[in-house]
Amino acid sequence: MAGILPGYLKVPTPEQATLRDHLDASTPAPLVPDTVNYWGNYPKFLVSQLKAWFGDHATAANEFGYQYLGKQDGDATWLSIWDQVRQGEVEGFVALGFNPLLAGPDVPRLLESMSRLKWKVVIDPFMLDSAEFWRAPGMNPAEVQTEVMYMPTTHWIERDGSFTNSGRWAQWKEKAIDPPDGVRSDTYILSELFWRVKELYQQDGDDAVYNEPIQNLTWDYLNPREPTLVELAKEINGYDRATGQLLSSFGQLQADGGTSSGNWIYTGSYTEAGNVMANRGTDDPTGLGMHHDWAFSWPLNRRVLYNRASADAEGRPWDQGRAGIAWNGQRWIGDVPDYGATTPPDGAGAFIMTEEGVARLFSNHLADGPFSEHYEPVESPTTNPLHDSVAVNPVINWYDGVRETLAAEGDDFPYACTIYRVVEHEHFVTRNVPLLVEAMPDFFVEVPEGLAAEKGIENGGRARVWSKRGEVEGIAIVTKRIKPLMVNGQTVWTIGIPVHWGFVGITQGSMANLLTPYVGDANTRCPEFKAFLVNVERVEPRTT
Amino acid sequence: MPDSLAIKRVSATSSALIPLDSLRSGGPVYSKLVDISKCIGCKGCEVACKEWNDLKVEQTTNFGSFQSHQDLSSNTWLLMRFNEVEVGEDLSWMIKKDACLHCEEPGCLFSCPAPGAIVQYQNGIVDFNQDNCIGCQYCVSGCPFDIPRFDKETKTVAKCNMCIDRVESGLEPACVKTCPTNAIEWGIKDDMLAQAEKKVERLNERGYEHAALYNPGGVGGTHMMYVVPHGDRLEDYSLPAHPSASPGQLRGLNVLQRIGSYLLGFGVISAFVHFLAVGPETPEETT
Repeated sequence: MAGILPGYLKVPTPEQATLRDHLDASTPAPLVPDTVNYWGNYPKFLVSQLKAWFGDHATAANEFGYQYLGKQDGDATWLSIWDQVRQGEVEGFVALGFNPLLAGPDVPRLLESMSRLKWKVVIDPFMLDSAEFWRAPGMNPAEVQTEVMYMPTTHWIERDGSFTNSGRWAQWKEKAIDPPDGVRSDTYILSELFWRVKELYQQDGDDAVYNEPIQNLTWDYLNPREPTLVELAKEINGYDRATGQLLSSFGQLQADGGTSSGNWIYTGSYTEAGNVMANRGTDDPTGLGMHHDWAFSWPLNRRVLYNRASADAEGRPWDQGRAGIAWNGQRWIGDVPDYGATTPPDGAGAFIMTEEGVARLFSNHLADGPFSEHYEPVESPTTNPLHDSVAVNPVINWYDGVRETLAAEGDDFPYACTIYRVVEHEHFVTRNVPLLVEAMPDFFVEVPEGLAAEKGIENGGRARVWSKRGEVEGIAIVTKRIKPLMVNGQTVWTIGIPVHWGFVGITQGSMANLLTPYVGDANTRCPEFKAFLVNVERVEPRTT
Repeated sequence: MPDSLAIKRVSATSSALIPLDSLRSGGPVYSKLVDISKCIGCKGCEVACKEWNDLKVEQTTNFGSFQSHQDLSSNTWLLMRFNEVEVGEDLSWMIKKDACLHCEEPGCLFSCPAPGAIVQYQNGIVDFNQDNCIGCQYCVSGCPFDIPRFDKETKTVAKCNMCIDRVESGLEPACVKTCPTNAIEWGIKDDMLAQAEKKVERLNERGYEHAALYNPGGVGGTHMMYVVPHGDRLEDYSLPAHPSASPGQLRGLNVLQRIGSYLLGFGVISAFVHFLAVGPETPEETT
């Protein structure tokens, strides 16, 4: 997600000197005739987005404000950001609505990096470990010079707004309770930040560097110091700039500045007919749980993405009992079709987002492609039987000093470890909710029965787990659920650790990420949280 | 009084003493149906139960399990009990919703000597009325499922009341409402029985040859029933194979209770006669 703008549009790069360059590089040409090649519409989406951001200041003459956008000249994923902090290249960090210290791998390394920030702002409904990282276990507060500002903000239960679930349903919700006295919304805090920065720039007058994008940013709200979420939802949906009417489909978006839309995939979510996200119809004529009258599903209220592929070349559903869409001779029925409603089945390839219109068996978009390959985790208890000379992915990025933090030949880390969540908790929020803490009260370590027997670890007793990077300690759950794996003829035990604990909140415990390696996958740099090496031992019960 | 709250039985009270208009029969008879094969062990029901019934949060400690509490209490009416069992080659994580089953023949009510402390409604709900509870805990011994729990502070006994206030208003109990997998369903008992039959069939088809409905006849059936994937291993779910509303050891006690309850009943009747003859008591006026 670090290389994209809202709606999967691309962040401009320094080589793309003009809007034309950027659009040419980002708009694929169809490789065969009769393909939908939907990304061919890229210019409409990007220009409409620029219109949403810069309004009347975005014109054909100034490339619709393209030059106001930052150009990304390197990787900006989580691991890279904190690596830059570590190198002293970043002064300040604003964390809004998440808990950086507990969310990333290798907490000991992260603590070191965080201490090199000059300042840090944490905006959250609850006090977070990230706002108090200077007092994390093992830290000496006197040695941390970072200035940390914590700003309490409203929780989602204290505001209206929408949630988008992993099925892409944007569901509007109402505010349930008032926030505590003095607690402001994040839109207030961000607006205030924006206005104060803008005013500082104005004071600098002509000397201000990069002044235009800030002065020209659209901030057209009834109360410009605190936009409502309805205003933002409408802005995201988009307008016809000539009539001022809300759009109902991204099919209406134009590349000439005639329309605006903050995020094209949400166009149709808030129309002249009202807030589609607030729809609460429960009918489901499909019988498949599609519920088209309930909330809004991006894009265009389509419930199953790429549903054209659920029907064969003649438009007959592959599974008659569970028809996504079907061609009735005149039009598609069922879900909102990928295709135009009356485009016949042979009108175009079934895969609308690829230039070739068909599915891909391989792709040249992957750093370690074009074909799938098996690599072991960077810390593995075994060899790679396919090609042991290249056991781990050869194109992952190695950050400075990380190789030294991995288990090496001769180290005693014989067990695999994985980290996960439990259903009772949501990240690091619900540790503040007494009823949920009651339901799952303590940090624990899950140890398979056979390994526990070997190590003398008793169920309900205590165990210590350590990797090359850090260690955790907690109550042992001795379980039959984690079975030993037979890998290359060798028994491999796995230990399980939940992620929800830290040193803030009404329940406290070890941070799981004290153990994990600072390595990301070759394409997204998503950290390798799920497989690494540890050792484990029994700890005598605390005598308190 | 709504149909749903027509009374069927009241502890230590002969039916002759229950006002006739609250004894109407008819009205819906409900049941919960817990499909253990669909439970994911999230404990959402536990939390919803506490939220709705305003039960106190208790300090818990992980004791080597995903199970939240070691046991039920007067503030924990619903407990998901977790048990890892190997059935042949397969591991089964047996997760059982432990709470009052609302027996048709409620052992608690039969053993209760306090008039009005336990009420059974026509709709199937067995409810405790703490105002009338004398704290004797006979109901605890009388329950074949070991459900009621004594509260040392209030000196009364408490258990699941099937969210009777919700049911009265036409709503399902809180645990049913919150269950994300529909493992707990709510409806007319006959419908739930039909539903259970289908579920058992489906489990049979999936290879659970011992799948069964748990609706034990020894207590006249229950108003929380289970669909149990391993019906031949009830002990692993801590479900008694042959529960009975009148355990042998309590029979002697029952006679004593009966006498006690008639004595209490006699007191009530005497009071009524007194009322008819003398009229309501008025506080003495002070001057």
